[in-house]
Amino acid sequence: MENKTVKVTIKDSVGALPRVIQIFARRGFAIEEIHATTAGENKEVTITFPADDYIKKIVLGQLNKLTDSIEVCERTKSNDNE
Amino acid sequence: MPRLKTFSTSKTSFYHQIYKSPQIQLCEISMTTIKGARGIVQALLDEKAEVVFGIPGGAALPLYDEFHKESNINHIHMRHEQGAAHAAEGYARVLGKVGVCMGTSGPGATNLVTGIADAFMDSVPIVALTGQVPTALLGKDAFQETDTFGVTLPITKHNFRLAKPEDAYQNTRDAFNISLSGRPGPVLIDLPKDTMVGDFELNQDTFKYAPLKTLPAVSTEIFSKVVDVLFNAERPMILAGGGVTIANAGSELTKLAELLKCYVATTITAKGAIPTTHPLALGQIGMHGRQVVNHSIANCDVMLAIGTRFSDRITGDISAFAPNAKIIHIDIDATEIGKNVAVQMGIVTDAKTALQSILAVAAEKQLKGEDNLWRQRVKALDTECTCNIASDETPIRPETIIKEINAVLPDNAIVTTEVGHHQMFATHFLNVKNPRNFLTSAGAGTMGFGLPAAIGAKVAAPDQPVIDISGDGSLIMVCQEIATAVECDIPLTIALMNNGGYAIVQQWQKTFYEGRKIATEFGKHTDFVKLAQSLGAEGIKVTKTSEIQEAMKQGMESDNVFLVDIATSPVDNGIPLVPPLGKNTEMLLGRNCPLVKPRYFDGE
Repeated sequence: MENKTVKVTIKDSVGALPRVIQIFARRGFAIEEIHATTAGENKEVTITFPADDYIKKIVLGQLNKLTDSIEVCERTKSNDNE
Repeated sequence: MPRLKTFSTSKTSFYHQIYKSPQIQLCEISMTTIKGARGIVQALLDEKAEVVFGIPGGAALPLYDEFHKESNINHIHMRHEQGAAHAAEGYARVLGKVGVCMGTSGPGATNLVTGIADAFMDSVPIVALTGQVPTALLGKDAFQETDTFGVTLPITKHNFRLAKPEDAYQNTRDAFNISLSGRPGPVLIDLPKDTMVGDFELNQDTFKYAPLKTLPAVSTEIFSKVVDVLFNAERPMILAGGGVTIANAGSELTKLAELLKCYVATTITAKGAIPTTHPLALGQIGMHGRQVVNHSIANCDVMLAIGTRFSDRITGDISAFAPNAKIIHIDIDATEIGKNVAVQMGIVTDAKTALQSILAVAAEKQLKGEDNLWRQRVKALDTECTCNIASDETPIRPETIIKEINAVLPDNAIVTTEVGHHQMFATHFLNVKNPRNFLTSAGAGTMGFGLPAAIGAKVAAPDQPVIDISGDGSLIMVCQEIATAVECDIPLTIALMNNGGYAIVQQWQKTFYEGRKIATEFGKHTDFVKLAQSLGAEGIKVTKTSEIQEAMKQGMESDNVFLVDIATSPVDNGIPLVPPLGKNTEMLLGRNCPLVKPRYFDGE
């Protein structure tokens, strides 16, 4: 499976990172790389993971479903250059 | 604040459970310095959450002390925290509003976990409050310290741990808003003791909920397409799930079924969404579904699936699930669309909005072929696979017990179940005429759900009779809650289908493990009537079919908890069974359900 990279912006409250990670852990999805930075009152978490279209759809959907998530985007080549 | 609902009973000891102190008046809150715990109580009052099901403990005491001072909070003292969570569920499932449960730190919180997980699986709005050790002791393995936040992270819609007293009011009110919004679910607030005893300034005038994501409106054109597909279908079916009940869309579902002359299959959380006695209500789908339902779903050409998540118990082998159907899936949770079953149309909105929109468009259309071959064939198959459940055998057949209960069940009765064989017999054969009148643990399959859920249901609807259809394996897991109901004057009838073991597990052992029975029979049978009596309830043993109706009437007329201990047998595989992930059309049948050959559909 090809690696995909998504970035989620989430409110920086207690347990923000575990909320993101448990989406992968619960489903047995692997994480190749994860990076988190603080951006004001939020955390920006970038995750690279092996995924087919189904896994990617599940991950994007579940990240968006988190009560505290503010924005979820998939990194494509075009927005990688921005 | 409105006074609490009370029960129509001559006893007055119900009020023992209300923590009140007439000397203390409600605080004047606007810009007032108050403790965190008082902020939580104020938030409960502002959310009109007048009932809390819980058990105190060291780390929970600051909040309990505030309950003591507040006469408008009715605290129901449960006997186990699992019961508290299920009672909050029962309350929430009946009213469609948030139920509240509470436990202390450590084991108090972990005992709540089963009920929270149950609420998560069935999308039930509850708020769980848990005491916690002071912030300074977090991570120090302090007495009764458990990482409740971490434990409940994957089984809550959202959870909070209070960081400071200032968050008490805001987080509690947000918890209610989150719990009830969109797809409902449990929200937990973990309360370190210092955040409850510390002071903060509350200004209710400036309060605003934290913003939540909203769903974009679905255009009328989309619903027009749905209506076109439905009206052009030759073999339509509706599959209704718990989302219909949650959205209070039962009457709309029934109207649409009548307009389309379309048969409705239901999941067990949708039981009662369309009255089970309605001619178009076909009944239960899936692993323990009716043959007519599973065959009709397998042969339909269009399926309108509303508020269901297509769980494994519904679909069986997905490759054989409605293989020729165009599936239109409507759900409030976008992540459910395409999760388990590939669909041709996915619409993200709530069941009520969707059904109302479809009805608005459909009202202008004329249905053709309303008595076509498909409808005639489904009707014929429905008639053919109607089981004869009348019997006077001893021990009494489980399905006969449900038949006898049906005969004396008032239309407005609320029925809860535990989990197991008795539950499946109830989901098959019980008549339920109204949504929210049948409460069962569907997704989590939690034994011990029924009795505490019945307590919550009776508190929510004191004027309606509440009956827990129970099994002995489940009841003994939560039997201590009989004491709760007796103490609080919460009259319930427990119809105990007593088969001396875990009959549904035993059915699996017999079917899939060559009959090697282990740990599914009780070597020593409990005398449940004596058990009930020792807890202050009444009870009666029933061994003959002819005695059931009278005993149930006696139970429903009693102003106490009344247990009807009905002797039945575990040997009766009276319900169809699809082997796990097998094809829904290849059911193993019980002795009372003759195989119905779906010859009507052959060659189509």
